[in-house]
Amino acid sequence: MLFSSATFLFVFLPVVLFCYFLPVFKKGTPESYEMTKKNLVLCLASLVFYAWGEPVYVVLMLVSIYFNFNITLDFQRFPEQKRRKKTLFVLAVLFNLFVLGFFKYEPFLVENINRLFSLHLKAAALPLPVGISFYTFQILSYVIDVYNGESDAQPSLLRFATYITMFPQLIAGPIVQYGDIARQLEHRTVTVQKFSRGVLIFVRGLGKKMIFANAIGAVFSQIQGGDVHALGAVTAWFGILCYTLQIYFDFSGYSDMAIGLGRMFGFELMQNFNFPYTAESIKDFWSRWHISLSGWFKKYVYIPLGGNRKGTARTVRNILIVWTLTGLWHGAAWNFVAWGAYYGLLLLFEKYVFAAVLEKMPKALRHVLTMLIVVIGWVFFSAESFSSAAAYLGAMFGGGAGFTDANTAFLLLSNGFPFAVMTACALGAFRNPPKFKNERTHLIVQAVGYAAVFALCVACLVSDSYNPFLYFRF
Amino acid sequence: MKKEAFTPASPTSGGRKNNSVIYLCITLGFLLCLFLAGAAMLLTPDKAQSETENRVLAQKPKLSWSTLTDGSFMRDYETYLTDQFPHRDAWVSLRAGISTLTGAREQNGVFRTKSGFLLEKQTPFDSSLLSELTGAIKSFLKKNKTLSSAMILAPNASLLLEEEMPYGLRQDDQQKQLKDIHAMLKGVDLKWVSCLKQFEGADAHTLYYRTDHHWTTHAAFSAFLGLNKAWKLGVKAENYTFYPVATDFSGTLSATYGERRLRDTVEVCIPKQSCGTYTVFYEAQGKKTATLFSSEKLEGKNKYEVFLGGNFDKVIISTTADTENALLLFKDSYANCLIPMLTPYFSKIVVIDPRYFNDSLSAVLEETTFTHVLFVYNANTFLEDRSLAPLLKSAN
Amino acid sequence: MKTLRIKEILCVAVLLLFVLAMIGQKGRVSDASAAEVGKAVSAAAGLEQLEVRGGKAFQKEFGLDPQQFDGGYYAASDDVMEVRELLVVRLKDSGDASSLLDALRQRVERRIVLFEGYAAEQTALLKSYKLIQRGNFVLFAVCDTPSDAVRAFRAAL
Repeated sequence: MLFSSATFLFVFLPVVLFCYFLPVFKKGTPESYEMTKKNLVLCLASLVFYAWGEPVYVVLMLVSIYFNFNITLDFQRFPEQKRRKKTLFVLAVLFNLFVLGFFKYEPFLVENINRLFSLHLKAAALPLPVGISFYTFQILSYVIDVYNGESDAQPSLLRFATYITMFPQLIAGPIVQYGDIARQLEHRTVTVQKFSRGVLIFVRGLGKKMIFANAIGAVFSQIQGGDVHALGAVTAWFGILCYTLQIYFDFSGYSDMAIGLGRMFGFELMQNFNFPYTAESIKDFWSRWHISLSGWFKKYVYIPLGGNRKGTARTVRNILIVWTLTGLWHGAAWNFVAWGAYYGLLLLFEKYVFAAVLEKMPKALRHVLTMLIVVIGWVFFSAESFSSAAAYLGAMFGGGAGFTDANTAFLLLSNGFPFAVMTACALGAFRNPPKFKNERTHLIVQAVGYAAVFALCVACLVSDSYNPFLYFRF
Repeated sequence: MKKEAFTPASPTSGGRKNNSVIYLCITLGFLLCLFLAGAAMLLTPDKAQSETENRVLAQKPKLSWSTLTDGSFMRDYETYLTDQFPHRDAWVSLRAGISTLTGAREQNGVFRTKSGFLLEKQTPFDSSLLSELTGAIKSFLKKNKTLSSAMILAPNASLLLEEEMPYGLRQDDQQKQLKDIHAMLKGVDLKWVSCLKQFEGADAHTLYYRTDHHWTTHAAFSAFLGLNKAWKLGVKAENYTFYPVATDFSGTLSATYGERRLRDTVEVCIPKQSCGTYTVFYEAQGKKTATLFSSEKLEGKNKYEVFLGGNFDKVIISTTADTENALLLFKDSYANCLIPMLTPYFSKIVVIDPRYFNDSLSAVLEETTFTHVLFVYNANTFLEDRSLAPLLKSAN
Repeated sequence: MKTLRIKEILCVAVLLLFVLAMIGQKGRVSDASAAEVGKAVSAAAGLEQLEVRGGKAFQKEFGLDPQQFDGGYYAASDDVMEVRELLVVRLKDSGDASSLLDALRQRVERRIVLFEGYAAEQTALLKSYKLIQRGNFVLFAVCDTPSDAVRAFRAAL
């Protein structure tokens, strides 16, 4: 199910909220009863939510949850036998990597083996289970934390299942690390204020996705869908800038919706985006973009590999490994690997070669340079394949139809205004909106504004058959 | 516009009583929206069809194990909800209105000009498709040398209203397209009726419907007069009368654009009684009538269907005209309003719409001794036609 | 295997079974004949009034050589306004049917263009078409109850 669907907004969500807040216990019942009931509602709802889109793969998720729940409890069965614990840990990691690897990377792997050894193996190429990259990463974080002793194993299957399946973040993150949420699984409260804040964040996310991302995304698909050799440089740049906006509003909108929904149910999820397009260096960009993913890779890959503590050569190696994997996480194709490696190399360059120059540069120039790199990175990300990325990049530098093409003026004129507004938003122009003196007025204005956004979202929902969610590739 | 950020609640600010009322309002307002809309969706009776969109709306999908496991139930359910959304048309036009306000000059491929005309994009020239089509026409005419032939290729509204098209929109020049097609058809004795020449002097706004992609009956009549010149039919214009039959026609371009106010007038053009009567036989449907107009279509949404009742594969018109002339007509829907003008000059007219015609053309040719063959198309459909060429080839 | 408990071994077993079942499902080969399957689907979806046609009609309508398949069942109508049709094809090899699937998809798109904005019922029927491949069988159905057609198709394999 998508958050931006009528089924979710007007059937699923009201029913779940009703069940979740329906009081069934008398006053004075221990809080744990109440929490168990709430977790049960949330967990069942999440399973329905997942099954709605992936009726078969819900089995896979349940097996995965049950396995990891039990095996982590076993870590503690042999406190004296480190080797056994280690064996268990390795088994657990292998299990999860197999699940992710088989369903996500098997066709890619088979294709490359075939190419390398000129074989004709047949890939099973099963359809990709939605959200598998997100939930296996959450499970892995849990398994590793418990193994390292950073967290205790969760003794309740219900709470563990709630953590993994929790529908607000199930299919598109943020990737919640177990330690951040362990306490909230047992104890959390919802107040009217918290709930209404959640509503506003949710509606903001919905607006980002339905009003901004979908509209600007349509412009990009129109440009990308045409013949790349007939593409003028201006149009090509405009197209990739549209994609730059689309992917940001799409993904950060989805994260906002997750955070907002989480709050309605009493959870505090981490911020996943912090105005990434205001970044002034590549490092800065990645501390603002999909924060939960970069955090995950840093904690569970980069630092275990030795981080930057074992000399320059090792650091370089580690950075390249992390970024190739980050690319691969985003999709099983070479253009994603290239995209990841591109960032790895740029980060190295920035760290070892460019650092001194960067410091002396004016802020604005640093920003422009960073954005240039990011935008070019999206070319690789948005393409179907490596060669089409290269062709598009060529068109951006005049290798298509020269400077402009027949559609340039029309596209710019028709989409210039929304493009400008979205760019301003993405650059944080309204990050700190002018406050009214009276806080009350401010709140009222905000509430009315978001009500209008919600109404417009409904209009988009009804009139849009165009409603794909970009991050389904994962 | 949407605010990009807001400051998270600071623990001290929410304590004040007057603010907590607003928080309560936000919470309740949101919940009310969800619950009321949800209830409205469940309670409003489902509609079978959307008039504006001219399509059947999705109905509640049937729940079964197989539709559940392959996920089709869930997909169909979402389509069902959005299709049956309360006040669907109003939401759609709200969206269209706002996107027009923000500078969009095109909705679903339809443009709106300053004078309130809705126009569709012109079809680009596909030379391989067209050389096949014109080749097929030429070899058909060479094989059937006894037939006098003519072609009416109507330009589309966007050519005549070119200066009103949105600034910066570039598309193929249809005038050149028409010229190229004419050149490709050289080498056979095909009379080319130049509509542009016929339209000279007329106000372009009277030649096309504002809300529909068809030409008006007046435009068709000009083209018919052009045909008269080509074939020397001896038409007297005063023998024809125009009658308005509907004033509230809102055509397919309106529906595509999401425009709900514009209305057009539909006129019919009929030869005087003294010019004879006719019968119309819809062969595949087994229906016989004495009129080329279906007045019941005027009650419906697509009032252009008043002409001939819509598009049919094969229609045979037998008239009382005192002539040996028999006409074979290949056409798209542009011809529908022109056909009634032809009845006084042919004793038999066989109308073939190749897009729907599945039978043998050779049989049609054997059945009747035709003296004339006419092609009536509009440029946009002709440029992407894939059914006329195979049909003509099948008779060779 | 003292380290692992029976629960975990069970989980691994279920996972492997699940994967195998998914792969098996995809590449399943059925012995049924296309005509049997076609008749079963046609009965379930209320398409018996359509006329059953041979390989020639198939070639004409879909532009594919019937010889490249291991049998088929094609039913349609002469009436132009009748868009309901049913095609069941048995493939020679359960793997790649993309050329057939593409041809069918293109056909349905062309038909939709023909009827859209003009004949609402026909358009709706065409838009609800079902095209699925299951093992060595392909089903293409345009009918009033596509889900019944799919169910009968599955049951008949």
